[in-house]
Amino acid sequence: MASSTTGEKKILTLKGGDNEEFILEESLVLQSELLKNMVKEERVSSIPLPSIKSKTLVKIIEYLKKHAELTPSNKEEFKNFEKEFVNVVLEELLDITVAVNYLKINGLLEFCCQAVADRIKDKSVEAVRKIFRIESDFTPEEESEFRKETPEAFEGDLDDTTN
Amino acid sequence: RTATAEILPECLIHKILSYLEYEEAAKMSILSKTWLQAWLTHPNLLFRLYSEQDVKIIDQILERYGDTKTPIYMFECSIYYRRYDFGKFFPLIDTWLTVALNNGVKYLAYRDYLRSPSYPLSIVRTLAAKSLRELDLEGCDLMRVSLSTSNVINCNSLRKLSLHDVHLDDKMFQILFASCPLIVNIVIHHCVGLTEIEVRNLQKVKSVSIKTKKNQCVTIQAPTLEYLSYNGFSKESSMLDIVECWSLKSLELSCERISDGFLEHLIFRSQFLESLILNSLSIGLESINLCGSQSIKFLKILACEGIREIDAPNLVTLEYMGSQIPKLKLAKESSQLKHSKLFLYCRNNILNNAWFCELKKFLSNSTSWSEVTLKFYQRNEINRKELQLLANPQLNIYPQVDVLDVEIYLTRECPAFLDALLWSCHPTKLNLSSTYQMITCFIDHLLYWKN
Repeated sequence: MASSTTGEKKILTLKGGDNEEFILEESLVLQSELLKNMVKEERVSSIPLPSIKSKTLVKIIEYLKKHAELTPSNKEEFKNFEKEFVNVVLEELLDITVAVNYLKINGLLEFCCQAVADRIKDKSVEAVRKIFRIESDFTPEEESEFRKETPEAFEGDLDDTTN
Repeated sequence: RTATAEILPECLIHKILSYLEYEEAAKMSILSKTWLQAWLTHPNLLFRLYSEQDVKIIDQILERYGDTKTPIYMFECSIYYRRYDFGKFFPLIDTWLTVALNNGVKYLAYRDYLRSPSYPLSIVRTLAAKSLRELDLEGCDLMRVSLSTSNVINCNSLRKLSLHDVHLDDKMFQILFASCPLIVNIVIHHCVGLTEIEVRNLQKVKSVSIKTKKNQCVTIQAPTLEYLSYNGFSKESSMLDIVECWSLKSLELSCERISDGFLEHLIFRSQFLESLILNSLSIGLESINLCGSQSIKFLKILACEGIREIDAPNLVTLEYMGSQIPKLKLAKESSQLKHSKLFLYCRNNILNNAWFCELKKFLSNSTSWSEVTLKFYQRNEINRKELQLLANPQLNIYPQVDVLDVEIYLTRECPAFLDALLWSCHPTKLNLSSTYQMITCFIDHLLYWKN
């Protein structure tokens, strides 16, 4: 199936997890390695992305648009946009990171992983567990073994707020 | 409450860990079994070897990676452990490198900062790994594993090769570069055993950085080369030949005797040259004119006295650093010039009337300097009487200096000196680093002038 066109620009529809549709220029999605391959090889006009929440998809499309407008003169502005972009609650940031990893948008993926790493930097293990809402699945014996072997891991910032 | 971080696939945990310091990342392995598993399969291995205990730990880790065939992306091993019989660990290091190479390592670094004795690395075996993209070696010996020209292997994947203080001879050097024809980035710093460093017949090379030892001559013939940094052994000898490097964008030359016409010719032919740094060059009897380059935007001259004339109409940044007031003439003021910095360290100058006049004349030559830094030393002689004469300005020109930074540590305060300074530089803004006495004297003197 050939992708539909209006004038010169090819248009593509992305379907989010809750069936919400997003119509955008095909050139924008080429930043995603996954979508690029789909568009080039299969010549589709609509791509379902059931694993990605619409809210997450909105954010990612916002990034794709900004990134497409990037020129040497608005670099500074783009950097500020990136900073704001990852300034969301952790749950949302992780959703975005997982989606970006799936879509293979390489530059943004690096930036998101950096942002996640920044939130757990210099924190104690307990604090990171709280931030990530991870329950330790080690046995109490294993846990006390860790505490004995690497006491420094349990030191550090106990504060689990990240901003 | 869901376990948010448990939705992360292992490859993402690897990526997040790679943005943390190594110690910090190791700590995250205690978070949960998922994170422990991710840590145990982390594709980037960075080791610093300080003790025999470390040798055992590294050995265990690499044995596990070998047994489980866990992919390795980066392997970096730095040696800080010095002992006379370090050689007994060489077979172990061989095994580690083999595991890394077998498991698809892309970036391999082995750095021995103490080299007692140097690890005999087999370059043939290393390059035979078809996945390697970057190889970074410091303090190794490539000569203890014998080889012949039939050993040339095509390592088409290698893009970057760095050799710091590595022992190899000319023949080995040739074989090495014949083996990686698609190399892009080359670093050769202070390698022992080489007499001729020839960079030729490399179709993709873009960046070369060379620092030589005594009696090493260098020939670079690379039409694709864009970045060249060369640091010679002595400014008394001329060891560098640059042929057909017409794509150069950035050139840095240090510590070399430049023969007549060499630089002029190079600049004339390099139409894309944007950045030029000249450091401690001896320029012979003839002075040098850097003229007619349309492309040069950034020019930095450090400790080169012989440069007389600059004509670069598109220059954006000019920096000059030296101990003498330059004899430089900026032929046409570049309309683009945004930053012009002059840094003079007046180590052995006699600061008399003539010196300040010369400074004033030089600064007035071009319309403005954005930053002038003058550094004075205790042993500078000041002719107080002569400086008094400057109160009657004989030179009716006023230089424009936006910012004047002065560092001065004279033992005695000297108002006449301060007058001479302001007279010769005429700054809009002044930054002064000095002793308490000197600064007090300065403020008093300025108030005196104000009233």
